[in-house]
Amino acid sequence: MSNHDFSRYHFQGQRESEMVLRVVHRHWFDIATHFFVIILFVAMLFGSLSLTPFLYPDALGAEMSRFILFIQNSLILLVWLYAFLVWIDYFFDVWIITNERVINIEQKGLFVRAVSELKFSRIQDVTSEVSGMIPTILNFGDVKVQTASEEDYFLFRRVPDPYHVKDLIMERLRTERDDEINRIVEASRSGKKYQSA
Amino acid sequence: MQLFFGVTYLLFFAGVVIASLFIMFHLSRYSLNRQLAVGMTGLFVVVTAILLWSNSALFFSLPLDTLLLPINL
Repeated sequence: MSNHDFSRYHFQGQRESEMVLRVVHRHWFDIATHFFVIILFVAMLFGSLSLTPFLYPDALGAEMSRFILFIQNSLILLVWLYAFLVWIDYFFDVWIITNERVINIEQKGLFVRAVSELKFSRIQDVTSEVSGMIPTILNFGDVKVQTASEEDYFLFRRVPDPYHVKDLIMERLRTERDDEINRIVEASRSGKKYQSA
Repeated sequence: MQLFFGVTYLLFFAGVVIASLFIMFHLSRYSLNRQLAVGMTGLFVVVTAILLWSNSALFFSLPLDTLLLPINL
């Protein structure tokens, strides 16, 4: 997953010099549980509708069969739309790690979308946590990015390979701090006043 | 009674179309990968159009007079 090419990814508000390093979605298990419920519900409905002509062959005429077909088609249409709503909720709920900042895009249904960002210079600490049997087997969990203020933090919820995500942020954080130190040293050597980026 | 079913179906149809437009808007506007956005939107539009077309065709082929006869009695 880390070898994935993210150069094709672009988001609103991306700066010219900004490079996407990683796009993190929730783990597939999260959406699989939603889809499993949908599939189970559809199977039960279609099972009962398909069995009706066999169980009550005399009760259903040609008109009633056409009516059942219409009901089935309407259900497929509704489930198709619902599946895409679930997909949108999953696919657009995303964390983007760039070379400059971390961006959290939270999508809740069709009408709630919140975008927040955190610069690497504000990050104090990063912790990852995998808890539970299934998360341990499938390797997914939370990554908490703590900022300078104690109440303020970014939470990557149920993301795949949280240890790698944490390492990536920490590595980027180290690079950012090294760059800042170099800028301070350069500024002091040249006798200029240092200004934070 | 037929009018009631007609109006109910019209509302259902309009609701599906509006929801589909919102979904298409999200897929095309908020996707981070343009290629993926085109693919997902294309798939959604094609399948939804087929389902909507078949749904309306089935509804208009329903013999509502015969089906509603027990209710009218």
